[in-house]
Amino acid sequence: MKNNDESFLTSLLQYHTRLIDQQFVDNIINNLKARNKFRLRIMIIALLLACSLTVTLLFNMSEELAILNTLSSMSPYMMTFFLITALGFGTWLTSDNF
Amino acid sequence: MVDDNILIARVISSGDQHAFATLIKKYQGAIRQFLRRLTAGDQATADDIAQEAFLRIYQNLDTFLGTSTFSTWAHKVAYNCFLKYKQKVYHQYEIEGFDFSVLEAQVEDIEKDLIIERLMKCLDLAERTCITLSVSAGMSHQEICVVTKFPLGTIKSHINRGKQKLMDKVNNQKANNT
Repeated sequence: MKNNDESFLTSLLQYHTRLIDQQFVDNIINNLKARNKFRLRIMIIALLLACSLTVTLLFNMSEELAILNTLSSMSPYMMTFFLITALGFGTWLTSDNF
Repeated sequence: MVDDNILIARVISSGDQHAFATLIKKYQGAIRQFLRRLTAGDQATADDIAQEAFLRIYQNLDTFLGTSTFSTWAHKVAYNCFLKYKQKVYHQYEIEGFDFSVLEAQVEDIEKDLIIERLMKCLDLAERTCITLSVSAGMSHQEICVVTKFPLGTIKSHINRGKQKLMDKVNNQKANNT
């Protein structure tokens, strides 16, 4: 290959317009935030499931706690309170501002 | 400009997204350019792969050992993302002819960029990768070895053969235009 051909080709291959785009950076950062948010939600749900399973097991294992379990199941006010709390937490988890 | 190692340490220790944004700003040009050449001018696809590559860089930054420069490691991740994409789907744009005068022009021109990217179509993937990393990204043969895992001798022959093919293509077009 001739020298001037080679240098022309090299300068051609080295040529590029500058690629600096803030939108590109923002897209990646937003994508990262969305992925982290999703991971956090999954972790919280897994934690809640584990807690509820643990509580149920404890209540069934101990006779003293079984009494508490009976009491709480008898009170409609307690049931309503827990339902509202669970629903409120669910709404909070699914909201965009979380 | 903050040193790369400080930015990387911040991202690893506390997931600092601002530090990672600085790293993206610094390397997006090189990585996107590399992928645009590999996809032979499919700019939208190249940018999608670049985005996926940066997400992977963020997730795997703790595996960066510092045995090569961050730029080399980032190119390696981008190259692996491209190979993964290529296994699924890959289109190539045809380049039948182009205006040679655009290549000779000294002004900055997006069309010139696109013609050079699509010129890569006349090379096979290994030649395209080695030529881009060597001439466009200015990497040494050793660094190309890290990115592609090709042996040194193979890299040299890919570069020489690629250059010859490109020169033939450009000269043919020059003859057609005159």
